[in-house]
Amino acid sequence: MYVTAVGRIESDLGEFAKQADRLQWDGAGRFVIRHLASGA
Amino acid sequence: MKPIVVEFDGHTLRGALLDDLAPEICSRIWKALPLEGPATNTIWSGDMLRLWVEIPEPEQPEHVVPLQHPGDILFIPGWNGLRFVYGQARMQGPSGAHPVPLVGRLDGDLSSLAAFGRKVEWEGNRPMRVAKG
Repeated sequence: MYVTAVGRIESDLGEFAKQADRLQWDGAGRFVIRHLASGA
Repeated sequence: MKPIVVEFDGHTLRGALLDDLAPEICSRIWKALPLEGPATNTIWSGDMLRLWVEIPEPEQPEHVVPLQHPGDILFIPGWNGLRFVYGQARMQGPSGAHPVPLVGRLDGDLSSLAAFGRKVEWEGNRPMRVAKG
């Protein structure tokens, strides 16, 4: 199977990693991707 | 082989520890039974549950296998706990595959264990118990 990298997450990933670890224990969580407020 | 039962969410599966192939590790597991704790899915290894229990660490690994199959029960020295394979899986971490000791097998239909694995993935950790059979 091939995968395509379509984006990058910027800035500190520490909190993101903590939340990802919690999914293992707590089950599925809500994940939101939205446009930047600036519209850039 | 030493008979065991694995209990989760009202289901019971029978199996055995492979003490003829991994005598020291299986002896330590057998002496520690019954073992009960939370089960989660592994992060890197596919359809595999981890039971978070503490087993006295063996001096060295035994019966190390590079590939795993549904029904396999694994013990990984250093990481501890027990792993239960319920579908397509291979023990691995972020740096690649890890050959690991195969210490037991589950018998029969594994569909209840697979459903349990999916439930844990969506709803979070659930209790699991291993006892002498």
